[in-house]
Amino acid sequence: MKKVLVFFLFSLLLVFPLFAAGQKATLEGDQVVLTIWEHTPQFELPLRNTLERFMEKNPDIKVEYEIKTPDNYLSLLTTAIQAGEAPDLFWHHGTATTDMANLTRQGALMDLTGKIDVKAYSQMSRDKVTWEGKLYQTPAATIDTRAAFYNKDLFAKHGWSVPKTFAEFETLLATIKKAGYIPLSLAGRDNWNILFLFEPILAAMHPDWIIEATAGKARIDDPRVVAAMEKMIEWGKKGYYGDLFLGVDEAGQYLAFSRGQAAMTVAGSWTTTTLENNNPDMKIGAFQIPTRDGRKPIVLTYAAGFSVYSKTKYPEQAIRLANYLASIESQQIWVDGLGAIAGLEGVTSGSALADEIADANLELESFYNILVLGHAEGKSPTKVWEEDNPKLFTGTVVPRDFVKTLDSMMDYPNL
Amino acid sequence: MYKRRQGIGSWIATIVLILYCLIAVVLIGNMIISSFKTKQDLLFNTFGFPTKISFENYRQVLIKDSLYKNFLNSIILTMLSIVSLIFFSSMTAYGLSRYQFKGRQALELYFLLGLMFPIQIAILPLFIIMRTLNLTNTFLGMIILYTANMSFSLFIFSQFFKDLPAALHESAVIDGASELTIFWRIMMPISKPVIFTVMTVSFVQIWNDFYLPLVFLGKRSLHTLTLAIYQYLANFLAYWNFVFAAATLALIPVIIVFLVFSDQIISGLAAGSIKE
Amino acid sequence: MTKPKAYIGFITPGFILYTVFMIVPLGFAIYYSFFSWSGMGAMDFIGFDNFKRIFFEPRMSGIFRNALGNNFRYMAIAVFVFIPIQIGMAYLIHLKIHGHGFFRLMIFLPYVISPSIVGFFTLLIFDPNIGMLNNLFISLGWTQLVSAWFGSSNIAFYLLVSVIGWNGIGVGMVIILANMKNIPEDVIEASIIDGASVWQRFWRVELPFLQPSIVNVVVLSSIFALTQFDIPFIVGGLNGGIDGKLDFLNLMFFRYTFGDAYFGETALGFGAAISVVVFSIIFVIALLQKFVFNRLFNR
Repeated sequence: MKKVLVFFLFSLLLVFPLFAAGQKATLEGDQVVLTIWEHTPQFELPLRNTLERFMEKNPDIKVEYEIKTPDNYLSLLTTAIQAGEAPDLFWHHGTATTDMANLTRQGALMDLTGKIDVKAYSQMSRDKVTWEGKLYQTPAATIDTRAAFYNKDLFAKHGWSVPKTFAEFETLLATIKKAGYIPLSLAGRDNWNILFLFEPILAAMHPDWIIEATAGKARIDDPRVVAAMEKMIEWGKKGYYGDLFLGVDEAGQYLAFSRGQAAMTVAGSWTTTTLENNNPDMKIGAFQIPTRDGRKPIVLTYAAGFSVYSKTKYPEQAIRLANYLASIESQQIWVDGLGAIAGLEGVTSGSALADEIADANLELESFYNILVLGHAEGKSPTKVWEEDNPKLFTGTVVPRDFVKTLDSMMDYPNL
Repeated sequence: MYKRRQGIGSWIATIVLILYCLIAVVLIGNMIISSFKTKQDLLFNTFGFPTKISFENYRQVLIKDSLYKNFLNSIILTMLSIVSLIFFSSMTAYGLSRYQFKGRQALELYFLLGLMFPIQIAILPLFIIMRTLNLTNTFLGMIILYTANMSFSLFIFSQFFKDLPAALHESAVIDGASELTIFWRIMMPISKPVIFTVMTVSFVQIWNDFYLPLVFLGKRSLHTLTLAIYQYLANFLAYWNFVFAAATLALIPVIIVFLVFSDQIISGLAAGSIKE
Repeated sequence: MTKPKAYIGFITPGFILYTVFMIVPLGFAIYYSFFSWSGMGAMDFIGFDNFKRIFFEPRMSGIFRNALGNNFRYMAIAVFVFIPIQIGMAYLIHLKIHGHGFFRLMIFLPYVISPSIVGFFTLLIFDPNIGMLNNLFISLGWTQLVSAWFGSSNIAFYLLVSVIGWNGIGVGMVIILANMKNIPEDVIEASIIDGASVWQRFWRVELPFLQPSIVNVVVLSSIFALTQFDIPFIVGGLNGGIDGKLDFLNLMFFRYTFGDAYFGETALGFGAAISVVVFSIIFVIALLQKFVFNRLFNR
């Protein structure tokens, strides 16, 4: 036991330097240290790159970043804000979710109107970061969308071509299945991946509904939405996602594609780098599922950037950082780091594949966003959607009833 | 040890257990083997031996991403926390189980409460407390937290202490020993199997803990190995080859702890002192 | 027992640490459950409304009962299936059958693997397209055994239980094994001399000595069964897997507190209410068990 005590004391000696090092040192010499939070390890690379460039240009500022996990991010952020210990800058969803409303109501966000230069950004990207007329967050140039990725080698080998109409797409699905491959790998276990498949189907079948719903002129309880859901289920029954797709999770979906077992997969545009890295030997192409009359719809969401904590100890430096993050140079670094699609003049897309994805002529809102924007006070149709959409495939939930449930949680001020 | 006949029954048992352990052997073996595969190899030859042994993954993980720093963080943090945890939980358990006093039952249940709720719900008040005491982003703070989370160890210790014979205690008192000495010199050595058990299990729990370091060790230089591995896991398909290497590294200390403290060393001691 | 005052010295340090860092925060959590609160800013006192929603609102109470049912089913399996297996394995190792050192390591080792890796293993084995099992069955020609595994409403739950069992069974076993090592030699030897068989020895002589660890393992298993989170989260996802078959109470807690929650925001108040309910259930069960065991074993 003496040995244990000795060991304990010895280790205490080790601890002290760690203790000291761990103290929050906000001033190292003449340098100001800022902290910035991001929500997903997927963005670590672009964040690190952009911060490096910033620190080169601003030697009097040191920026430390902390990356949390997507599941815990919001709760950790609110905890920090509530405790009065929020980081100087932090990411959040902006107006895509209730983040913006909540954070501004708490007075946690610094008003950035006039302090940072956002002239170059489109109205849509600025909408994401503006609330009640004031700018609260740096806009982002990356656009998130979905696309049908396909195995170019496989297509060439079998003489398949990119479909130009919805009918051609359905025929292609049947043809691929007959050839013995999985036409469209899908993670039946993942409600998000199902969403990312549903949105392009809805966009291809009834873009008119989306346009109307975005303007507040159509309900969720609409036969067109039901039709899209039923189509998605029908393809499942025909085996177009593979016969056992209900047991596949997200990783399984992409792996089946990367290994050539599936000829196509519908996924978010942010997966391009992942898919390319997973099998660098495979040539990947992408297209948007076309409408019946040959238009190319694209479901878009603009990303959002970083807010400045209203009670930051170093407002001048924080604003400098915010300005840099909103700059074209920084956005280019970001887009390159993610291989993403750029929605800003002066920023080129991160890859050739990104260009293929962006080859579209009809910009549409995402179904999930419609649920977010139109939800009734105190109700969360998105939660119901997330919990129940996989049950569409098992038959536990039926499209007709599902849309009614979702509809009951929405507000339609324009109807 | 008493003699035992190793009959047919024993062989059947051995075979059944081998089959069961095969699962772990195959999976963990695969994980270790896969850490030496290239990405392409992993994709198309997921279950076989590497077509070409590559140290690429380890190079990336240890050197380029400096995971050895996280490794060190985890080792230091875990070892210190274990010592502190065993120290405090055994003492408290001893007090709870060797003495009769009013409200003892209630106190026992009180100490079990810690197991009954998820720590996430209490994170805000906990964060405020830690911040007030200036313990966020420090190892000392984490050690305190892991020590406070003593319900599990305490419970196991107290069940065990209740069973130790009173005679032992009495003979020591007659010899003039103080309570503390009795605890330290007599009861603890006997408890070695239990200590080893609690130590191993708690080691694993702390080593793998994700949430508390996420909240209280946000500073990247303080990240534990588990947090660092998460960076790879979150971007899974891009980095799964690194996951294998990092996970294999994470496995090593625990296996060492388990083997080194093997009770081959301590068996026999227990029998000796209880004999009256 | 002598010198009753000494116990204060032993208990106090741990008591203080535990109370400050665990109980005080818990107290706050209970307090929150009576409010509608997002975790930031204004807290609206709503009394028992959160609880009413959990028990009586049609959709929520359905989800609650489904999750509760899963937790209870798991608890039953953990106590009545896993514990006997753990005792059995511990005994075999204790008897030093051939290879016992290896077994002790390999049975415990799965516990060391973090849940994320365990989740990854389930991908490797059970994925319908690329997983080991299906590919094995196809190559052996046993195509009728090919299944969607976690995609199958019927077997997903039992599959998950097996995975959790594989991961955690070593812990209980090691606890029981430690207890076995402390069984006094002379009693065993006496029974051998009296001609008892291995079976009789186990039931009549050794099992009674295992009281502490069995009580331990039963109470701990029950509590763990009711607080399951890590592996179901990784394997089934926050929404509880196919048809909610893999939904557990703590999963429900997590997604309603932190996910895109029921009220469209992080709902700390509602989440606190869920965890208070779960906590109360566990508390009652632990109390019952303590009562039963104390009666049974007179301690």
